[in-house]
Amino acid sequence: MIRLRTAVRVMPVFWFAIPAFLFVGWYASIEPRFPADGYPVGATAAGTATLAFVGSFCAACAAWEGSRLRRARLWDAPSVRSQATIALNALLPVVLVALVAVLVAIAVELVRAGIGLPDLRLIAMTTLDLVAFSVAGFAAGLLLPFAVAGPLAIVASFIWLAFVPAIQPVWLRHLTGMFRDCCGLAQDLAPRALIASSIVDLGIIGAAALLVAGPALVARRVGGAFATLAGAGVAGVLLVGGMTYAPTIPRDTALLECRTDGGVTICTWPEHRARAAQLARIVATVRAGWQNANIDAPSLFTEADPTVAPAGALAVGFIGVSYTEDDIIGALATGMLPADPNCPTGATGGIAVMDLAAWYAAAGGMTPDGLREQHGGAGLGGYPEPLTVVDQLRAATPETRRAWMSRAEQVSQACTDWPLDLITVHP
Amino acid sequence: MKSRNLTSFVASGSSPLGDPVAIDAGGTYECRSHQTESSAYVSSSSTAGDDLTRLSFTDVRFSYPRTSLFGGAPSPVLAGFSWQAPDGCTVILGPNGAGKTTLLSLGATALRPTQGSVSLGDLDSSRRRDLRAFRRSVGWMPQQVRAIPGLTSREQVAYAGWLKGMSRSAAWTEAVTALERVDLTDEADRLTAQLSGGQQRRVGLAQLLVYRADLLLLDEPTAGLDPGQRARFRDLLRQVAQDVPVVVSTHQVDDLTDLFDTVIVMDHGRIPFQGSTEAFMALAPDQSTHQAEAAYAALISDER
Repeated sequence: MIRLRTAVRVMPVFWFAIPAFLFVGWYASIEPRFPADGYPVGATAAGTATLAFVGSFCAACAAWEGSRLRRARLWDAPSVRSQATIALNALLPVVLVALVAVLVAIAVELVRAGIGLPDLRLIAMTTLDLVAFSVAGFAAGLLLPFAVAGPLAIVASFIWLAFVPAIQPVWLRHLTGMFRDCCGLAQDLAPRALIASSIVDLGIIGAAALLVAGPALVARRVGGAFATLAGAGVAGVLLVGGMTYAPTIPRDTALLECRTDGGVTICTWPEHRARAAQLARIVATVRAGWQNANIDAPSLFTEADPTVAPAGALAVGFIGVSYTEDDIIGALATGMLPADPNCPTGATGGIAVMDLAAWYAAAGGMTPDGLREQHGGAGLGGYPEPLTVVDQLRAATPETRRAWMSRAEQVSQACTDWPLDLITVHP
Repeated sequence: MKSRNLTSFVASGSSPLGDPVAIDAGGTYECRSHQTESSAYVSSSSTAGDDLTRLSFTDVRFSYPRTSLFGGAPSPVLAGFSWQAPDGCTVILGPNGAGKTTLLSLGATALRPTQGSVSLGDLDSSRRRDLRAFRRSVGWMPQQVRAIPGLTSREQVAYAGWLKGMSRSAAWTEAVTALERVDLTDEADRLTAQLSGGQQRRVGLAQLLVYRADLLLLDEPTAGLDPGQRARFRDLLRQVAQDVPVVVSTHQVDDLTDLFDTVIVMDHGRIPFQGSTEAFMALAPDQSTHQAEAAYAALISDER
């Protein structure tokens, strides 16, 4: 538009800006989130989850701007300004308002996490996402009547941003630029997920540009756009195919801050620096409890991702800022558990894992209330309650405990039927 | 009368009737020179040595592009077409489908020739480096002036100026002057879409005046207007033509007025007549009451 005042008066993106800001701010404030725990990457990623709404809003507003030029027959007019400049003039306010909306959500998440600055890679990614959606919506508005282009822009972008991340295969979500499953404190954003979604975004932009400014022959335009989009999609799939649901890699362990006290080493992330002493005290207490209960306790406790933790170390996760001492003991107990054998549904030694978790937590000094809250409840498949098993283990001899723990760990790795007899505590 | 090859016609320097034709390079702008002294309008983009009012077509071929993969090649609207717009103000007469709109669209670079070149002075529209200057110099008003949804007249005129390369502030300021020239000052803050058809045409004209084009190409500017609006638009055109040469296409012979220095008749992508208004009128049979219609009818029926 020629003036800001004109733009504010005639562009829908400005009409709906304040409601959009309020909505995403509210949404970010209520969204149950992965504990960002003072970690900018996690908090920023949680804020970008609002892209599912903002992306649709952005695409629809861009479609309106495209339809404005379409109705006025200005797109193919012999202008001195290039079509790219004309599009930029129409879309810049749309992208900026949409970006501010996402930034509002990110700001709310940062406040909730008690952090100052967001992760700039995710903001850059979000900006590229918004540019892609605005260009695609703009192209739809130029090519189709708004009655078609508007709903199409809203529905297509919402499906892409909200539905695709929910379907199999799980790595498809990494093509969308939505990184809400990133990142725990021990993880960092996977570069290949970033690159893949950037390529797809560029593919969307290129395809849309070809559709509205490509060769005169319609078939060539459509063919070129399809080829561009397909090429970007294939490149993206090659990059993220086989990844898990999380677009993450282990965080650089060089950032860990380690302290050794009484033969026990604890390595924590910088975000936990203020609580390092408290963590050290709790770990020392838990370790002593485990030793008293005849549990082989490690001497190295690290917050590194388990996949990169040193052999013999206990990788501890999810020690959040708001966590209680019982939460931390529970996290340490969880860290002691054997790896998930990834059994087919219905055939698992998982019952043994539940009992082991309860036992490690109890031995580590978790309060009775904490035990009831985290491990209370009926046992599965006719098994005794985990806390009943815990009581039996407390009363058992060291040899019986060791024998039970050994059997339970073995059973936990077996994909067989419920191994009732194998994990029963025999006093 | 037999149709004539345009190239030989231009080369011969004479009209089909043997009258002198206003194609001399050093000719004066009849319509613009009428009141040169009163004109405060100076082209912003002309440069010394360039005559950015001199629009010429050289061996131009144009077909509308196929829109389907399996469609046959469409027949060309123009083929081997060479023509140089005469000095002054020109009216292009011709029936529907004669190629008038195509000619003006090519002249405005809204369309690109399949072959040949369209130039303005030294600027060749097919040269990338010339295109911006070419487009800045030519003002084109298509048959239908479209309101930009949501914009007032002033905003629409200013936006048109911006599209033609003006800065935002200059376009915003000049839009007032342009609307004043088309007598729409009172409507400047009304939505263009709410204006009458005649007022919208005037907005369309203001869109050309705002950036001070060197040459105006108006395609059927009075089509669809009621008689009162047409008369008003012609008066307006007369004022505008004092400052800038105008080429107007029309299929309505009563648009022909003494404003125009040259009359061109176009039919089937060719120009069977180019000459002065007097020469055109002379084509009519002696007893004709409506001389212009009679001249036109004589020419077109002879062509067909």
